[in-house]
Amino acid sequence: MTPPYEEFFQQYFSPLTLEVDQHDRIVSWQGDLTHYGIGDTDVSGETVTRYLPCLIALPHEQNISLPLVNLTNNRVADIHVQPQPNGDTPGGYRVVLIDATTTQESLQKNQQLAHDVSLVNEKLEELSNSLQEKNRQLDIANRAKADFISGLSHEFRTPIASVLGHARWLKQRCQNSNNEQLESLETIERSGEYLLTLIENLLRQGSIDADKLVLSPSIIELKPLLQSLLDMVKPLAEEKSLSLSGKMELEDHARFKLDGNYLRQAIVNLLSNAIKFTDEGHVYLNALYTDETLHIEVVDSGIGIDPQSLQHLTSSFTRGKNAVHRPGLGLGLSIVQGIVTAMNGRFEIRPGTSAGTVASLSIPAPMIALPAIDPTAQARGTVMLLDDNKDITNLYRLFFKEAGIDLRTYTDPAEFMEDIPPTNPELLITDYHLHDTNGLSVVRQLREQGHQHPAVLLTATLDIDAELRARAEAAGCNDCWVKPVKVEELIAQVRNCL
Amino acid sequence: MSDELKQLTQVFINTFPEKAQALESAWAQWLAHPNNSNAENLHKQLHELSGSTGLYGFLDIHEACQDSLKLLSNNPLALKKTGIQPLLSLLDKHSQA
Repeated sequence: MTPPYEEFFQQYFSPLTLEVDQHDRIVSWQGDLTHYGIGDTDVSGETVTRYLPCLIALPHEQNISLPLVNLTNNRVADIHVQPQPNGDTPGGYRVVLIDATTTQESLQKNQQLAHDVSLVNEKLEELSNSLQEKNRQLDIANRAKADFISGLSHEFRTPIASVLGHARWLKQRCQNSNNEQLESLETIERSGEYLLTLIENLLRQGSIDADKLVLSPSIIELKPLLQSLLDMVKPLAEEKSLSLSGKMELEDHARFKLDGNYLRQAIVNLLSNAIKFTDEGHVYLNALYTDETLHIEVVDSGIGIDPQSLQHLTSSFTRGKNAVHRPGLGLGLSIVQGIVTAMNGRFEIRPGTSAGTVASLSIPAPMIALPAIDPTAQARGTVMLLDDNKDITNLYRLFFKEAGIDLRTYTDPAEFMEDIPPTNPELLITDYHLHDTNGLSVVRQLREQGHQHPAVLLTATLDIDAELRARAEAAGCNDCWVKPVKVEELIAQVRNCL
Repeated sequence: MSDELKQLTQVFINTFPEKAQALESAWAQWLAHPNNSNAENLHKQLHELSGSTGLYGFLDIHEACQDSLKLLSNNPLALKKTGIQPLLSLLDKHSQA
């Protein structure tokens, strides 16, 4: 009985075995001759090379395999030549043919497939390179746009500052003029300030687009900050007879390490937007702290947002359909988005429950555990400020006095250091640029002398960068503040620390 | 504006001529010998003027100083071309008020 594997072999490969003598003549065969295109019924005595020319001049003394040989009937076979030294015909050999037509077809298909895959891969690589190039060009174009906007904004800033300067100068000179003239000047001033705000927004957007937004977190007390923002926009709300209020579910003196300037900017943008797009009703500012996250909401009863515009509102220079007739560039919300993203937070805008809009920020911010402020200690606390520009220290002294903060000012670093008492003050502030030295050296020396008072380095916008911040920290500064143009802002920052 | 602030601002304005003189002198020295020391001195004058005028609300002078400071750091040749005359004129205008 034929074993099953042999049956399978016979069925699928139809082998043909030819016994050949030393003169290459076929002596006998086993298998189907016609399957391989070798003769018809009897090929005895025929020369094997007539049918299989590939065997011409082939040595027969060793085993040889010829894979995938094309036969005369267009079939393909693997041919094996085996010497038969002990066979019936001395010097003869055996030729075994195994059908490989299917194998050849599969191989060809595989080769075609491999070729196709290689072509697809080449195309994909080409596409990927082209996409990368396009991305690079877009990146360059985007940066060029950001630089252009930033440059242009700066070009605008200078003349507008000049307009404002002249308007203030004229106002000062015209205190005795009639009301109409004063009102005109105030309008010029207000419009100039509005333009300046737009330009500041453009500059900020430029920084966000160019990934240049660098946060400067410091410890801020949130309630007074939010209250000061409500106070700031109050006149705008009053002009439109809107009800403006705040609901702050925060612990008293809740402090967080956040960039106060940018947070302020984000909330001001939301509040001023809410007021701009509300003609009657209310604007509410809600603040809540849960799960180490600060939630701030600005709710208005204004014109609302059409659903189609919702998803595009936080793109720069984009405005809602029903907002196009109101002043603005469409940057406010995009700036908020940029700031909140930099703070690892989330920004959402949704329609209000009955009307209007709800804009909400969620910013992760662990609360800073500080001992409660003792009012008597605060009264004793002193702020010491070192700035070698007497004009500046004079002005600081006056404003701090009006704000009820005890400020001692110094222009000489040696005098400043000598005067520091062992327990007071609560805060030391030093300017960065000083005659013959700088604020970093002063703080370093203080730390070497064992003074542990909180010390802040005051720097100009032109100077501040990540490197200076790192150097300040290494010198022992607790924080760096970018020098504000307005003294009120400096006082607000000082208040947050006291 | 409180009387005290008005008074202080006037005291500040009264120093404009001497600030202009110091600035002119630093400018002339830098033009004649544009070495590090003279550049630092000019930078100091502009920086101080920029800081104080910004705080007192003279934004036009503040911005002009900021522009000059940027040029001094990034493009001194352009600063030489622009000069500081516009800045001196602003100081003069405000001190004449």
